[in-house]
Amino acid sequence: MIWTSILGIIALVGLARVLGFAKNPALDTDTARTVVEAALPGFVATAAAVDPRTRTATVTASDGRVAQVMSHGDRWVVRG
Amino acid sequence: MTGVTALADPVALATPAFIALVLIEMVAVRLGARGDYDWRDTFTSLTMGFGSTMAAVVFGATIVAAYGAAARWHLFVLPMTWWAGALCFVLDDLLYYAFHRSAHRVRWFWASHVIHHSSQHYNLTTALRQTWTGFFSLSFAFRLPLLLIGFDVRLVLFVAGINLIYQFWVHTEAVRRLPAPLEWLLNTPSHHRVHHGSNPRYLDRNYGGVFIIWDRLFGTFEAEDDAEPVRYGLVHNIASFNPLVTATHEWVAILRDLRAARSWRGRWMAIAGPPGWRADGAGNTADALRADWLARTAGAE
Repeated sequence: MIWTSILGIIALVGLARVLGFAKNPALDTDTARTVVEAALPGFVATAAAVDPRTRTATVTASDGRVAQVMSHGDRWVVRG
Repeated sequence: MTGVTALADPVALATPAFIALVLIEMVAVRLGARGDYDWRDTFTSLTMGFGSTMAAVVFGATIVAAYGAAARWHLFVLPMTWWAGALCFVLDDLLYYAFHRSAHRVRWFWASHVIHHSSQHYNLTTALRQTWTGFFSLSFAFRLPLLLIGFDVRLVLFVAGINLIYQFWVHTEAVRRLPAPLEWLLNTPSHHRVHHGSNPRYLDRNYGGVFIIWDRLFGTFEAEDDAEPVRYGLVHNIASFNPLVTATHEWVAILRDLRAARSWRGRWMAIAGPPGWRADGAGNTADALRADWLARTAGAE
C-alpha cells in the first residue's frame, strides 16, 4: 500500500514533467509590478529592480513601501 | 441500511478513481483544457495527501474510540436506514460548514487547514493536498454532535467519507458552471474556486462542503466573477515546496508569535485569533482586507 502510493506519486510527478508542466518564467519589471500590486492591496508600484539571475525583484511603492518578489516554481511569492 | 460495513471506507475505494481523474485532467490541460499544473506543486500536493493518509492510520483508532465514547451518550437510537443515512449526510455537511468556517477564522484550526490552501495552483491534486496535523486541531470533534444525536459510528464515518469524495472533483478549472439549479444548491467547481482565492473579494467565502446553501443561509456566499479571475493561494504565500515546511509553517509561526507576545491577550490571539491578526494592528485579517476592498470599491464608484 505504502510503496504503491509512493510509486503513484513518482509516476504522476514524472508525467507532469514529461507533459511540460515545468515552466520557469522570466521575471521582468512589468511582471514584478503587476504581481506585487495584485498581492498587496493599495500598493501602487513606482519602480522595480529585477535580478534576472536569481529571478527576484525589489518593487517600491508611491508611499515608500518596499516589496520583494521571488520565484516559486512557475509562480511568484511576494513579501512586503 | 445494508452494506454500510462493507463500504466503511469509501475513500479507499475511490482512490484509484482519484488517480485516474488526475491523469485525465493533466492530459486534458496539456491538450488545451482550462487549468494548469507545475510538477513541483504536484509533488507537494501528492506528498501531502500521502502523509495525510499516514496520519489517519496513526490517529484513526483514537478518533474512532472517541466517537465510540461519545456515542454512549446518545440522545436517540437512530436506525441504520436510508432516511437516517440521508439525514446524517445533510447534518454532517452542516457540521462540516461549521468546521470549515472555524478552520478559517481560528488560527489553531487554520494551522492545519492552511495546508490545503497553500498551492497557487488549482487542480485535482490540490484536493489531495491535505493536512498532517488535523488531529491536533481537533477537526474530528466537529462531528461529535452526530454521535450525541444517536447516529451509528459506522454511518458517521461513512457519510464523512462520501463528503470527502464529493469535494475531490470540485478542485478543477476545467469545469466552468453547472446548470443553475445545481449551482444554487451544491458546492461546485465555480463556488470552490472562489473559496481558494486570495483576492480580497473572495477571502473566507464559500465554506460549504457538498451543499452551498449553508453559505447562502449564513451570509458567506460569493459568486465567481469572471471579470475578476481567482488568484489561488494564500494572502502570504509560502516560498517552499518542501512538504515538511508546508505541513508545519503555521504551527511554527504560532510558536514564534507566542514567544513574542507581551500580554495574555496577545498569547490568546496568537492561538485563537483570526489568521493575520497582530498585536500592533499591522496584521491583515481577512475581514480587514475585505473591508478595505469594499471601501476602495465604494470609493471608485
